[in-house]
Amino acid sequence: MKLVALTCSFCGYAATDLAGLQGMKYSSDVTIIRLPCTGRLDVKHVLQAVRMGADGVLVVGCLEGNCNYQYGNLEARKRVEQAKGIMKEIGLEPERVEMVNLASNQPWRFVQAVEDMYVKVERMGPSPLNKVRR
Amino acid sequence: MTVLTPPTHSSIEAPKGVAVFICGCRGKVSSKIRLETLLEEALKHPSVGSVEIMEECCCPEDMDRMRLSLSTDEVDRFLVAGCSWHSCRTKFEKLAESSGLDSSLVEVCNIKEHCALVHEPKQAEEKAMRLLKVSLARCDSLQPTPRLRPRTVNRTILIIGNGSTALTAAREAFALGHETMIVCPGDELFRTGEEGAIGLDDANVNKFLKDAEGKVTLSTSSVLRSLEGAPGEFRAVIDTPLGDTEINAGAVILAMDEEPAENPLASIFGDKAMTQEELERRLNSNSKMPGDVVMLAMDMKGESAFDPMSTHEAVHNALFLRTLNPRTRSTIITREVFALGQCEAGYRKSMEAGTRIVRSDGFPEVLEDRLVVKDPVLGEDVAIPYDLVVLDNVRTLPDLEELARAVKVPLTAEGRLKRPNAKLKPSESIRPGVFLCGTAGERGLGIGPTLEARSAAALASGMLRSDLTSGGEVAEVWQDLCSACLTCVRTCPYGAPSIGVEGKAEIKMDLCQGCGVCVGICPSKAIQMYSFRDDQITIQLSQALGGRR
Repeated sequence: MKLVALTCSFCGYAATDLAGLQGMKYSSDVTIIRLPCTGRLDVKHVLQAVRMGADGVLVVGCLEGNCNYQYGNLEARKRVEQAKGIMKEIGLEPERVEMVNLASNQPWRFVQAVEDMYVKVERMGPSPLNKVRR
Repeated sequence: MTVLTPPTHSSIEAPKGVAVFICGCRGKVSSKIRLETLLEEALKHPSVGSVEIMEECCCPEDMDRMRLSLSTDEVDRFLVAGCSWHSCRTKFEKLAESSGLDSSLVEVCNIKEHCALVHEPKQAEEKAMRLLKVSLARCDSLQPTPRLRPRTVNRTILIIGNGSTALTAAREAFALGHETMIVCPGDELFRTGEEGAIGLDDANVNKFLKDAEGKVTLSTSSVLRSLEGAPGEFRAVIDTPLGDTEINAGAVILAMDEEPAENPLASIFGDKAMTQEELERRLNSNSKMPGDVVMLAMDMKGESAFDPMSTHEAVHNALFLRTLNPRTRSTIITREVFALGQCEAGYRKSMEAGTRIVRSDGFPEVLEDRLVVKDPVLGEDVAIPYDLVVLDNVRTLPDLEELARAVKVPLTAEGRLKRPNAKLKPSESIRPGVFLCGTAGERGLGIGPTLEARSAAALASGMLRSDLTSGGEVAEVWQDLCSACLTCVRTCPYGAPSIGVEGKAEIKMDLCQGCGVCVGICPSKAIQMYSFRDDQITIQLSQALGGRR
């Protein structure tokens, strides 16, 4: 399974760090990529990740109203919704993309989000794009 | 005509060589992951010049070893595979600078928190290999971020305020050796007995203004019209009774206070009522107090709606009252006592001095000489006699719309000056170089107006201590691609993009904070960030997902 987590540099990345420091367990299939803020996310990146064979994409930002850059996380949510819409149109499961909001001291929310995605992807099976390419 | 396009992986200068340091973190990483396999993997990468395994990259001995390895001409950037970007970035950026490299050409690969500490050895190693590939790809594609001219800062501080907070900020700024100008919209800056004016009265205010003559200027009945420029070199236009004047300042402090208003509860109690402010004044002048004083820290509905922090004042004044008049019984009726920070100690002292606090979920029944409260714990009515009822100070927000427009700081729905995340930037506004204190700002840490004013002045002074540089991690517009659709202008939280003389968007580097929200939304893809370019994120995704394109 291939999962990607795009995190912001503040709460998102710090929460993944804290998950490590507290020795929490989550799937090792997830690769964390840091963005300055989730507002930097482009719809393109989500779709690219799916095209490259990601089974699930998580976008991890700060809690709403707590963004270090005022409202980058709210912008990101809009873009994630947009990406979901496009995925639905082209016949892919939109649930493969999820936006998570958390605080830097809530690593369990990150772990929970990864586990939820893991379970969802197991139920849906690998990305159809992955099957074709194999 | 050649179209200039943003730099991509193919157009930026190829790296001279990457030095890779793999950190064992004193066994925390090396116990789970075989570092030698990572070393072999890194050596396979074409641009890697040298790979070294270190014991602990952040200890001084290993730092020296790294500096030695970086002193050759063959490397121009380095990657540290070790712990989190958060914990070691500053150290490695300094290391790069002291080794004569560009500090923006440093990449950190997190194989500790993201691998060794969470996964079993086999999975951890697999994941570490993948993360190393992602980071190597990113390291190759890094380019120096722009560093603009260092700006010579103007050390003058401009304070905009209407009350004691502005004065406190000015005193602090003066004490720190800054020339200060206070712009006050009203005709008088200081009213005696005002809240938060600890240690201030007419006499010592006049003395301060006299002592500071020439260093602190006060301009009353004046309004800020506009504020242009960047931290260190603001240009403000001020509308004074003598006409418009332009002022250069390094930092701006917004210190607007709420204005006093009458408490609507006063009419219920008639001449037996007074506000906390009046009580303080009476206590200061040593006037005699009656036997039963009841403090009602609530509004008509029994909520603490006038000011959530009003119980702070009640608790302190009750202590003050008991100390001066030990025969007086003081009772506070409220729904909930907020005793934050230093007030915790005051609360304890006040309780020890004999202040009674009665909880009430609603507004008490008012009789001729006593208040009847339904105690939620006892479930019974409790009658509290009173000779004097002390009510909350009620304040109204001044109209801040004009000021907000002039300084380009947005207002909250309530009409207060917006504050960024109070935990990260406690005394700052959204605009860099503009600091915020005073009761008309969005509620922050609740440390009180005096401390807030001092902290704002200290932060402003700290910012102006040395010359500032613009640049770093910012966004830039490639104007050939720009279609002037105004999307970036409308999206930026900081007002950095504007349409320039060419009719294309341009981003003011001094205002840009590097969030990238405009980069992600630009429909023409004309904006790029130096270290988070589209192609960089793409290549990272590609490496994370097994090298597909």
